[in-house]
Amino acid sequence: MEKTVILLVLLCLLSTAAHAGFKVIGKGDNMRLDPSSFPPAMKANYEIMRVRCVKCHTLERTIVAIQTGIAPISGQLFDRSATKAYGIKMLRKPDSNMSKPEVKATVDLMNYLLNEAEH
Amino acid sequence: MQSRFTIRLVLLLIGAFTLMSAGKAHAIPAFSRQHKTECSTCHTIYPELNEYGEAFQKNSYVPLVKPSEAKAPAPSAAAAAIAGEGDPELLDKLKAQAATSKVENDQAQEPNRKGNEGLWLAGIPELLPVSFRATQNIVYDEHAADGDKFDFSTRTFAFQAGGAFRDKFGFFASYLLTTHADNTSDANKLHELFLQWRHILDTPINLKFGRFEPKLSLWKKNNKVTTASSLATLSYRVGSSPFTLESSQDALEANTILWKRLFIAGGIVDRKGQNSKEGYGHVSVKIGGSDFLGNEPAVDLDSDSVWDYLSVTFGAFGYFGRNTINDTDTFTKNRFNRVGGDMDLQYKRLRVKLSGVKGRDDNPDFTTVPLERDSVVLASEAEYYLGSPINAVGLFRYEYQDDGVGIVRRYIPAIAYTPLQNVKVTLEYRYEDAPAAISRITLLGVTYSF
Repeated sequence: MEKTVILLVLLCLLSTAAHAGFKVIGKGDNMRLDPSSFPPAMKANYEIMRVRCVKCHTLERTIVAIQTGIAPISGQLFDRSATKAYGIKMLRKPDSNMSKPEVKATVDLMNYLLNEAEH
Repeated sequence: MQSRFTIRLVLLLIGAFTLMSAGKAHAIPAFSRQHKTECSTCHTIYPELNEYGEAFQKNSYVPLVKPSEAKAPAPSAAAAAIAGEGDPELLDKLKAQAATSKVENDQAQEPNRKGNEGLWLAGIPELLPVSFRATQNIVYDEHAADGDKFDFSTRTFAFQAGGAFRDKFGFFASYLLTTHADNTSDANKLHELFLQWRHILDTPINLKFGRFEPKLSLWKKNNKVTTASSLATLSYRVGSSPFTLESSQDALEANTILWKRLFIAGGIVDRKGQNSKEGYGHVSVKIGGSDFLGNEPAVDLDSDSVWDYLSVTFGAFGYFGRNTINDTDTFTKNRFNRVGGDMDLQYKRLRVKLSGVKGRDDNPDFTTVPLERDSVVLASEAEYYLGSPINAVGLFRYEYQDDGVGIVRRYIPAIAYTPLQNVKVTLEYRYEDAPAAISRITLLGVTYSF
């Protein structure tokens, strides 16, 4: 019994740490962020991410990278320099149809979310 | 009248395919399964590679992850985690290592160490890295030699395998299980089977051994949008000589990436039935875009530059060899050479490929009285990608081929559409102006991989 309680407490602590700072709604392909607690500028940036990024991949891919600090496909560290590199990659993808201001907005949002995830 | 009806019919079929809109694409061949990613990570329109795919191929099919990027634990916590008695020197070393998160062990640097540890330690891929590729065509030829204007029987079915044994070796295999060209010999059915030893003895040099396409042109045989034809520079022959730039050979190749944007390859080819080896070399340099290691360029997100979207790769190559008509006859030999250059330019949705080869064969017809021939072949192709994500491409190709006997000019417009990333439908028209005759061939093809 004691072991079970300790395990449950540990699990709760772990899950709190993983989701600290921002709220995730849904699972898998339907995973989304709840932007209600975002500052206004980041709410606007999230709208760009929500519309543009899902044209080619799910938001889950981005959210998991931010939560874990590891890009799910490459296994690469997902930090502030990585967010810019991914932003540039998406800017240069001929089919992304993303402008520089849109890419900058999503990079800013990912950096904001990385900050939030750390706290 | 009938040909006009045929063209309309073919266009209608393509239109019908195009109208079948698809949601998100989930492609499943070997690399996709292994790395849990979609085809468009490495391809524009399958099987044509994008720059990330080119880098992945040059990297021996090992994921493009920067080394020593394992997430560092907090220094104080890491140092405190190591305690105990024993060798004090080793303990100090371990503490220092944990505190600074410096990794000395090569195995620890390797990314993606997850899943079954036993398989990882043995170097065995967790998933069986195999896939299949099928191509089926409908060919319309108004002047078909056998009178069969509509030919539904042109098809190939190939087995492919590829991947990496941890980050030490890359491998690839491609075998034609069946093809409409039933005269294909067993040796030619095995198109590729090679192993590449990465960064041999901790040098930047990779060593590739087996049967493969020697690194000459920027593009391999399959690295194209069209179903039927490669660029003429890759596929042209002179006289009866079986040599083409895209032919697979039994070879040993060393290659390396220097300063991230320079790729050098050189190798020797062993041709069955002759003791002397053949040699080749390749050098390519990339300006703009991501480098050969897959790193994105530095782009200022606050100001615009043409180099934000422009990338150009230049390649040059040479091949020196000799062959016989069937690789067994040792009496009549053909000594030949090819030198050439390529350019691959991409700007946003536009891609332009230019290629040129100059060749000399001293006896390409394998006659007792040798007759030398010089050849010059030029090819150009402009592609424009459509869709978001890319699911279609329109292209136009022009080829000039002088094999020393006559000049052939080809004009090839084509469109390709991918309802799913692993299924491609192409419509290709080939107008060929040759000294003997003008031929017009229409080809509707479908290629799928799984």
